Amino acid sequence: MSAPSQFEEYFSLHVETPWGVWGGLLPSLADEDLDPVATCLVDRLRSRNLPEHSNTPRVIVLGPCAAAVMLHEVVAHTLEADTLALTGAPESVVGLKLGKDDLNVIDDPRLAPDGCGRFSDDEGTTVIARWLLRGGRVRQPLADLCWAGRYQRLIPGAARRTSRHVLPGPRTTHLELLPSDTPEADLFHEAAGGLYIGEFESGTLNPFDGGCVLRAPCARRLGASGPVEFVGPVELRSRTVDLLGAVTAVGDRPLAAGAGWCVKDGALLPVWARSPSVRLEGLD
Amino acid sequence: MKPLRLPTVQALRTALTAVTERTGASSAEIYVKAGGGVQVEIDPWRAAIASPSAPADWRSHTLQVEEKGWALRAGADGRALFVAESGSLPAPGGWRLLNRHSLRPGSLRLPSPSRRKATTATGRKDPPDDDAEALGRDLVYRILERTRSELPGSRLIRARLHNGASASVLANSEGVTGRSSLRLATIEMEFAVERQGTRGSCSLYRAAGDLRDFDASTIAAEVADRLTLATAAPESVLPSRELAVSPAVASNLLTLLSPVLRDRDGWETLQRLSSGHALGPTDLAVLDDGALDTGWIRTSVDDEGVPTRAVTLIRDGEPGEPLLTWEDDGWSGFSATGCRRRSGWRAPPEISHSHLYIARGPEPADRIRTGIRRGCYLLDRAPGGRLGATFEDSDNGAEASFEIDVTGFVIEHDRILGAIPRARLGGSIRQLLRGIRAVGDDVRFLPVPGAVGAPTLLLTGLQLEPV
Repeated sequence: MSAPSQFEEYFSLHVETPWGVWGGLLPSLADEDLDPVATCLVDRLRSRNLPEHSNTPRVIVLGPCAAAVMLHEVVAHTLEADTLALTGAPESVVGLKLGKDDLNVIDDPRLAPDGCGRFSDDEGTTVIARWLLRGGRVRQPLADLCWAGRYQRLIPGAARRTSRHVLPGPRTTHLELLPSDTPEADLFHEAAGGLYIGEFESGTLNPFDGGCVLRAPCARRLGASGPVEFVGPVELRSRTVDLLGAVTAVGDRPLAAGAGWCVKDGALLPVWARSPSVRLEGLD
Repeated sequence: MKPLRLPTVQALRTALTAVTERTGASSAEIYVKAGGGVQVEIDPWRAAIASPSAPADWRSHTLQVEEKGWALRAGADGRALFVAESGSLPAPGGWRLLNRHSLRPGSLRLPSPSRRKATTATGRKDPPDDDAEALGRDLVYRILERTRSELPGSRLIRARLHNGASASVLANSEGVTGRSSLRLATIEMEFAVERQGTRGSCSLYRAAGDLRDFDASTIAAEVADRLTLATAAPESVLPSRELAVSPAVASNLLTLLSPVLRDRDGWETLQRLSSGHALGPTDLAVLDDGALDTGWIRTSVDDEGVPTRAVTLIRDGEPGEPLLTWEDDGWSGFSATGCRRRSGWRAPPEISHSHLYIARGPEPADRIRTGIRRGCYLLDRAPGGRLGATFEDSDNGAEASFEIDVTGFVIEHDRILGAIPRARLGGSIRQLLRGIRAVGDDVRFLPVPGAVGAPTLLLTGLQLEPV
């Protein structure tokens, strides 16, 4: 097996301010890529010193960046063959219904931003557009040659190496939540008292019990017309199935969002995503 | 493993001459590092059997790692250059890529030879064992067997061992030269268990000077404790009047404090925190010692060739002296020490602690635990939990504070009453230091990162809440 050379080019930006730290990946340093970073930093400035928000509201609307991080944890990591193998046979999850019909999630490394797309994985296997969730059902977990060799229903092509010193393992590269036909404004309908979370700064998944923790540096309370005043840091603690089950609507305007470093098992990898906003309801 | 080969200091000086001639730099420094070792990855999930009966059944991936690289810094009149490349140092005639336009706007200052003599501390020079793979597999197997005997049903998820050595040499145009070498072995393991319908996991990362220095029984006991906690039902009420924290938690707390223990800014923040009073009890001493005899990363000079020494950062519970680089030598009457380290040969040197530790105290660690009438013993950081501190008092009057997610036990005179799978320890930085009631005698170092050590501590006045 052989694969052609592949080149990846991107910027890793780390900004430290007295009111918080921002870190992420950018395909370029053009104004349109830097503007969202500036917006995040301004949001953090406005919310500095606000106490941690502790109540779980009835409605939470996640902006594209926050939705991308949530999907990275609860869909991508959850559906990696090595993660699934910790609690059972990886292929046994195929067909499980995890969310509403308009929850369609694809991992397609070819669609990463210009300069970051890949046509073969780190084992030389040609990548595919992999439906992780289709109509809310699990279709195809992420697998490399090793796991695909052990389980016939798994398809290789998602192997990534953090460096030449480390074994390859199944990982996401470019995650995409397909838009629905729900207008973005409808996500805020009858959501007064809820929260709008623009970004999560980190997320973790416990592969053994499916517990997921997502941390946002700040959020905004929802009024009748949409996001209003800022609140302090927010921590969402839930289970994978509950988070996906809580997605009641997906917006119609996808944006490149949530690009950053994934550090599963200490293996640092650049990951990309594209997602519209999503609405969550009924989280405990 | 093949011996690490480095150029002579004379070869570095010749290269410096070539670089300064080509670039017009008035000062320059060349740093060369070589490293090698064996990395063993054991991933039982990749093997056909999930519960191997002997280490020979495991599928492991062994990698011989050898790397060599060099870094050049040069500067003159508001212009500077930093270049790092893998491979051997170019021959004197091999610097053709450099010319008078290579220096870009920037600045560079380099240390002059120190009047203080460097200590004789050197790392181990004997090469690591060639049979690291067999040794590593055997070690992991013994840990797994002992963990299983303490906690039946424990499973190894993965293990990664590294046994290696590195050596470096540097010279600058001011006349500074330095050599250092070190040996380091690390082990990183992840275990899981299912007990009474609850699944839990834990990971452990430990370092030592050599693979043979790891004790399988000690590590197995640590793993079993953490797995027990990961699968235990949480206590709803956590008595937090008296908290004993293990060396692992104390080391993490010390890591949080490290920004105020170095540099001029850190020192000023520390002064504000003490506001003219003692920071902690008289038993409290915090040191940084690049040449610590028993340290894993001991060197006589730092990565700029400046001699290292022991610096008492907190003495008798009061601010001692800050960790200062040679550029700040003499600031407020304090002496500098060699404290600039490179995270790799590609990285420029930055101020950093080396062996940062809370000195051994007078109280036996078990007496600290048995002395607790009703409180908690905090064993380790909770996996994936919070760890952070802010050192500035906030606009709304809140004090500089910290928080760390921990696991541990509710105890009564060292008798375990209940488990704490995850709780958040927090409070003000002032209270963290002033609330130290006892300093134990069991200093342990952890790679978190660098080498940070602490003994068991008894803390009071902090908040501990279930998460």
